Amino acid sequence: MTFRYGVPAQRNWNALGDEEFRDLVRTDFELHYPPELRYPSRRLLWSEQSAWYLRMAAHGWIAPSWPVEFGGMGLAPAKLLIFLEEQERHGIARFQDHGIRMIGPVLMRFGTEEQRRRLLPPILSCEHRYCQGYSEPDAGSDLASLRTTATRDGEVWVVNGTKIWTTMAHDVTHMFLLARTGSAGPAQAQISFFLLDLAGPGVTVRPIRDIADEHELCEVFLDDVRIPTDNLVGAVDGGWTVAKSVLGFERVHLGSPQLPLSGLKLLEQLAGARGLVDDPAYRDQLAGLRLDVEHLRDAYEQFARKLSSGEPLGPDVSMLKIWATETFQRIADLVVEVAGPAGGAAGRVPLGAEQIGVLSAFYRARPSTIYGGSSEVQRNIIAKQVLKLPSS
Amino acid sequence: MSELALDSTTDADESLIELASVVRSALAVGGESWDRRAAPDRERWARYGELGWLSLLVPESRGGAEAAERAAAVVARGLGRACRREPYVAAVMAAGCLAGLPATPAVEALLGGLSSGALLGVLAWQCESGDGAGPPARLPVRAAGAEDTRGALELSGTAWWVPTAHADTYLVAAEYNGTTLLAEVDPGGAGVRVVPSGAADGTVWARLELHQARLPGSAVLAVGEHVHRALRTAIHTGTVLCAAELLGLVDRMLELTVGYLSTRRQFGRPIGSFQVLQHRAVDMWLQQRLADAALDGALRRVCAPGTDERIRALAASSAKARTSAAALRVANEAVQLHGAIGFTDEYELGRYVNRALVLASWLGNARAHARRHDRLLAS
Repeated sequence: MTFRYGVPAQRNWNALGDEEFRDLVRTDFELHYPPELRYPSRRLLWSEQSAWYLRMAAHGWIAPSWPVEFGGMGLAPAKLLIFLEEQERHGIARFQDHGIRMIGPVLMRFGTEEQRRRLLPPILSCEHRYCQGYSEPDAGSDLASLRTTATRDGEVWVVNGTKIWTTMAHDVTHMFLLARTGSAGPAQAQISFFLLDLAGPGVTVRPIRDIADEHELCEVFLDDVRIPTDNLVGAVDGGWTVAKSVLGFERVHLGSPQLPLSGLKLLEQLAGARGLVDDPAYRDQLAGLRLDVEHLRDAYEQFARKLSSGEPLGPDVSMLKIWATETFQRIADLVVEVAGPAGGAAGRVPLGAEQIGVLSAFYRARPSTIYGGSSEVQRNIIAKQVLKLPSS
Repeated sequence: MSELALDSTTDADESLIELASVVRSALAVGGESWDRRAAPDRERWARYGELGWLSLLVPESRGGAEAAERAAAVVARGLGRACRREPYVAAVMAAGCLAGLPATPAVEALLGGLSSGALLGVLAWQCESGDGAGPPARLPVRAAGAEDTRGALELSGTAWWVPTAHADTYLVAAEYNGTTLLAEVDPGGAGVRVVPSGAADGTVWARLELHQARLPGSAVLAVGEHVHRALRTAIHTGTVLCAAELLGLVDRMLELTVGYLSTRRQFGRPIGSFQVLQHRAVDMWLQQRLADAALDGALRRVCAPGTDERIRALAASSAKARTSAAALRVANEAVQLHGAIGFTDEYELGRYVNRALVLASWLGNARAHARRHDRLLAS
């Protein structure tokens, strides 16, 4: 048996038939996933779900999209989609998996061999879990105007600044962040990409309460925080390229059909509980939304096929994020409508024979068109880079 | 603005890319004269036959090109992009239906004529009522007469929404003794009346009225359950191809609009520099990409070997629902973003708008197919 990055060699999943693979994954999830954690209405803390993900890590299933040689499952797009769909179907909670989704691919593309050997295994074992340190109080959509600085001092970079809207920063171990390392040339050419261990001195994390009454977002203060030079990824002042590639991975990820599929599931559950399944007006709306999700899936598969054939993704990938999140919002809004008088109910409420978190989709859908590049920013990108419309 | 940026076709298949380029060069956009109520140009139709476009759904063993739905979709999309109004999809449906029947001499002769473009023939099978999406629950025409002497058969009933009044022959699907019969009907025959009806895009539909129309023995092409099966397959395939033609309309309307936004100046700057208009153009583009993805997904499912009928039906409804809605939405937005010029008969855009209205409604509109998709999922 050969070992790659500490993960046992995998079967060739892609050699299985689609349905055979689906059965295998579904059976595993049904047998082993803790039933009390299905369909949570909020993000779970690591302590609540670590048993499941540590099992996935030991099983070699933690990184389904990574190539086999880096310790992943090496799933082809169609298989990956099946894997994600089965996760969604079974209501498996996601963990803070930026390391798997973003940092792994970034290190495979921009990291040194030393960085890959040192940093990939702890991501695969879930020992290192990352949050994203991009936004700042004065740098949201205009990310390049960020003010956090990193100054070289011997073998370390000294970092000062504030990051905000950092999801689950209080529940992870590491942050990837952008900081200003240069002072000349365009703003984008002065930025570097760092990996930071949050346990070090100078890091203060303050959770922010949101309108869903959760604490998923944080503000992170960095005061003379020291980052070893070998935790800089890519070139000094070359972080914008790395950051954009992360945003690219994120746009594919945020454009996956997962969120809207979870919304449809809730919608149908609620319509059942409210006795509306055969209501013609509801039926029409459901039919339209289902097609919206089906065509998102078709588009997602087109991009996934492109990715798997090694083609770079263009700016048109922004369509996935726009359509996924805006469709999710339409579904979440219909959920509130279908709930009738329960449309304003906080938390889980008894409806029919079930306990349903009516507003769970609504609260996940609202920020989805803001984070990861707002819908408006995505449309600006497409207008300029795809349609080549004039600037002024 | 490069055409490439707006073209999203992800076909990796070399022969399809080549076909797409042939289609593009054969079908210029913009230059088409546009008479209302004009008959299809038969020279042009024969040219489509020479190019092999009319026999794409006919297996090679029966004189066709064996390229099937994907290739026919490339042609249909190209025809849409050029706003050609010949009843291509309807004719290919008819040939596809015949190719699904046993190869009798009568069937083969007809197939030869349809494939070369010498003959223009379309299927007649729709009732007046119903939403037109998918195969019909019942057929509008009945065949009556002695079973043992087919020469004595007569057809009665009215077939609606027949896509052209200018066909040389109509392939009428009729109910006969609890099964289905397909017959070739001469529009000039006794008891046959072709009632023309103008469509928004200038084409002429037909209502085919049959009053005890006597069928010569050679006119009965096939009888049995397999006829209904071949008809259903042809309808599903035709629905997907109609979706492809609609997508071609969307391609061009988007291209026209982006071009106009980039060149038209008001308030001292190109209007395409205003963010509000940029975002509306992006939403048009988004619909185009969704329509492309929906068609691509449908073709992948339809073309998979051993596709069963339910999958075929779901795929057809999925693609037609999206492309019909996208075409009408893009048409409306295109007119608004062009301003008054977009509403003139003189400017190219209006032809696409009118064609979109016709194709979005034919074979079931967006709502009808969304509902059918929903019903099929529940079944």
